[in-house]
Parts: sequence; structure tokens; C-alpha cells
Amino acid sequence: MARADRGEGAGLEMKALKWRGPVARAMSNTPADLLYSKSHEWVKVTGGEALIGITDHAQEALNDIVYVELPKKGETFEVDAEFGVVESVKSVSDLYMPIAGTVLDVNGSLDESPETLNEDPYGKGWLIRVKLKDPAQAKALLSAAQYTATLH
Amino acid sequence: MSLRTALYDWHAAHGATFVPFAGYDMPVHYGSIKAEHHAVRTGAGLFDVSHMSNLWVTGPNAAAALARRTPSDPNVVPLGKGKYTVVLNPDGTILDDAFYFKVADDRFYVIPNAGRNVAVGDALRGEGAKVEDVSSSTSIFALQGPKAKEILAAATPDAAPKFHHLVTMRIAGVECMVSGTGYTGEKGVELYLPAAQSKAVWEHLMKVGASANLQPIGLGARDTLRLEKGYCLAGNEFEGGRTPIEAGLAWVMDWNGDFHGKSRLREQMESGDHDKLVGLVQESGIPRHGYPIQRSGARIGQVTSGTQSPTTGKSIALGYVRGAAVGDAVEVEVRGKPQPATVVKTPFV
Repeated sequence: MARADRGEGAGLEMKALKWRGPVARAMSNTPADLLYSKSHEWVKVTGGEALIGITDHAQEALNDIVYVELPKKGETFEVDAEFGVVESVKSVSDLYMPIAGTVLDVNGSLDESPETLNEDPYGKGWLIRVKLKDPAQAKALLSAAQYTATLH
Repeated sequence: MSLRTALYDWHAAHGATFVPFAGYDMPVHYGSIKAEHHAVRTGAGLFDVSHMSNLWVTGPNAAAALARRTPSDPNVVPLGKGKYTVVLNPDGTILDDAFYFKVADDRFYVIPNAGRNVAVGDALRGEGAKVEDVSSSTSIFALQGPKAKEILAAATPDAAPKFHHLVTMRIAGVECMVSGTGYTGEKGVELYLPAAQSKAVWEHLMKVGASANLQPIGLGARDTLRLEKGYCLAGNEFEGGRTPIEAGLAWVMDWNGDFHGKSRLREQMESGDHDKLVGLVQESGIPRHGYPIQRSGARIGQVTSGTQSPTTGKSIALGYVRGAAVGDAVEVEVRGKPQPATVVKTPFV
């Protein structure tokens, strides 16, 4: 995700993903069985398909999520292409494809309940399921430990 | 190196996430902007807004300086009372909005926005007033919400200020100036006190407020609370040289004075031919700062502040438009897609 937000006054940028919160905040949940992007998406590869979402760190940094815009089934995206938008009370963030693929399914329940992304980012808060263009691209993604290291 | 308020360590220890704002590292929330917003609407919240400025404007020219730089007459403001106004540039555009309190005929306490202390101080000094900038040694707290009054009463036996008045109250052994003002649309007060002693006051308020579920509130909810009430935020609504007439602040104008930009502002007022700050509600998509506002495909303005109202769940915004009035249908362009919106009267809630 990338930041393009606006807060209290011209000088206030939420910089949600580069926040300087207390140490306790750094202990976000990063499951070891997933792969990650530097832009705070997670990927769960199963055969030629993958489930994609945003990380616990990302949802916590964004704070209360109020709107999610996702692509349509059948749309195809290359790596790093914008595939959607997540808005919190105070911020707008683009979602970037961590791995190339064609959308097989989108999580429509987020239309009605965007807060699911805060509550269960690795479960009910998944964003899209894709057919991978090249499963070997997964090798370029980060492990949980590598991703956690980018947060400090 | 960013500045920190006297309460920085307290905020950090209570889960605050910080953002840089006007040179300070300020708490933006302590976990959830929405929860903090609701706490202020339904109970009470305590804000550390010590990044705001504090000026003592004094001397035989103090009132005259305010009368030149603001469209108000300090002489008709009763002693002990405050006045919300705008500080004007020589061309009549808004330099800042501010409250001033009349402490004596030649002594005013002025509260400009964060980072505006030098500009406002210079402007008033330029009109012959003595200006003492005590911003860095002063803490400002806002106690806001339907339960604010009972919490203040539990914190001190001293009498609370009436609406828009300023009094002195002793809280936790510390002498505080307290005004019946706020930026949330709820009942409440704002406290001005020496930064060196402010932690004891903050902790005392949190302690006596615990039974009323008093919550610390960050800048995130401060912004959504003010936006729901249609209050201007200097950095957003006054950006780019806006006049009080354009900003919907004609109600603060006292036209009897001889203030900067008077003839231009009167002309604008009489012609009606100018951008106007309006409220917008929108069913789909969330309007944000800078988004274009259109009508029938033609651009008529842009959004200055927007969010999803935590109270109503609807998308709300303030923005400048030319030639659109309450009730009109317009569109806000959200990421390239025009979304239907309606011009409405504020407040939104």
C-alpha cells in the first residue's frame, strides 16, 4: 500500500505505515506460513492460486477502515500494479499486487463490513483470490521474518 | 527534531500513535479514531492540544491592534469574555482563525493555531501592541463531551466558566486559565496552564474522570469531530488565501471597525460573486481534500476536508464551490469517477 492521505491541516500526514508508535505496537501478528510484500500485502500460495490481503501491521497502522474498493473478477494485474484502495477514517491507501495474476474471486463482504479488515486481516478480511501468472514469482516475496525486519 | 508536548511520555505509555503536525509529534489516536470520536459525542474526552499557540497581547495599543487585524471590536467584548474571530492579512484574506479573551482593557489572551504564533504575533506587534509569546511554556488541554462539566466539577470546587468566558481555576494545585470553548460541538472547556506542571493536572482529570469513562483523544478524532460540526481547520479551509466571506464566516464580522481588507470584503459580501465554502454529503465513495467538485461535467470547486462521518456513517465534506447553493446536486470526483453529492447546510450532525 502507498500513502496518499490528508489529516488535520496541511502539515499532518498520517504516515500510518511509518508511524512512530510505542514498542507494543511493533508486535503485530505476522503468520509464518504466509509470504509478504514490502507494501504490506500478504500472499497465501496454494498450487497455481493465491489469496491476497493486507497485514496486521497495515490494518493497525491505518486504524479504523471504512471503505474498500476491489477489482472485478477476471481483471489481470502485473506485479506492483494498483488493484484497489483501502480508506480509513483519515487516509486513502492504494493496494499493490504482490504477485501477478488474474482475479478469480473478491471478498464482497468487505463492502458491507470493511471493519473486518481490522478485525481479521489474515482470515475473513482477505481481499482477492487470484490465478497466478507465474507461481515462481512467489520466490521474490518476503518471508515473515524478512517482512517483520522491514517494520523496524 | 520534532517538538514534544509535556505529555508526550504519558501519551506513548498509553498507546498513542504519533504524527508530525506543525512541528510537533502529536498523538493521532490511542487505538481507534472512531472509538475516541464516539467517546466525545457520548461521554467525555481529554485532548492534549499544546501545539496550539498562546499570545499575551498587551499595552495601550492592544485593543486597537486587534481591531485592525481582526474584523471585531475588542472594546465591546465584556471583561472576562472571549471572541472567535479571524486574523486578517492586509488584503483581507485569512491569516489564521483565533479566539481572544479580554482579561483587562489593555490585556488580551490570544489563541492562534499551531505554528501560527509568530505570524499572528508579528501582525499584532506591527499594529503597535506588545506581544508576549508563551506558546512553548504553556500546555492546552480540551475537556469535551456531555460529561465534561461533571468531570470538571469533580476535579475542582472552583466555579467553571460560562460559554465563551475565561476564568481561573485551581486544579490539582495548579492555577489554570479555563475557557468555555471547544472544537467538537460538545459542551466543554479548554485549559491553559504552565507546561511544567501540566502532567499533574492531566493525570488528575483522567483520575477523577475515570468513573465517567473519560478517554484521551488524539488529533484524528479531533478532526472528525470538528468536521461533523462544519468547523473550519485553518490549514485546510483557509489554504490559498481565503476571505472570511468565502469561508462562511460572515457571522464573525463586525463591520463597524476599520480593519484590514474591509473595502474588499464588503465588496465581496455585496456582490456575492465569489467561491463559497459549503457542506457536501455523498452516498458513494469518500470525498477527500483536493478532490474536484463538478456540476454537469464542469468543474466548480474542490473539497477542502472530507471523511466518513463516524456518527452517521455518511460521507461528508467541506469544499469551495462557485455558483452552487444548498440543495443543489453536484458531483465529487473520487479517483476519476464523479460521485453524486448534495450541497447541504452545516453542521452535518
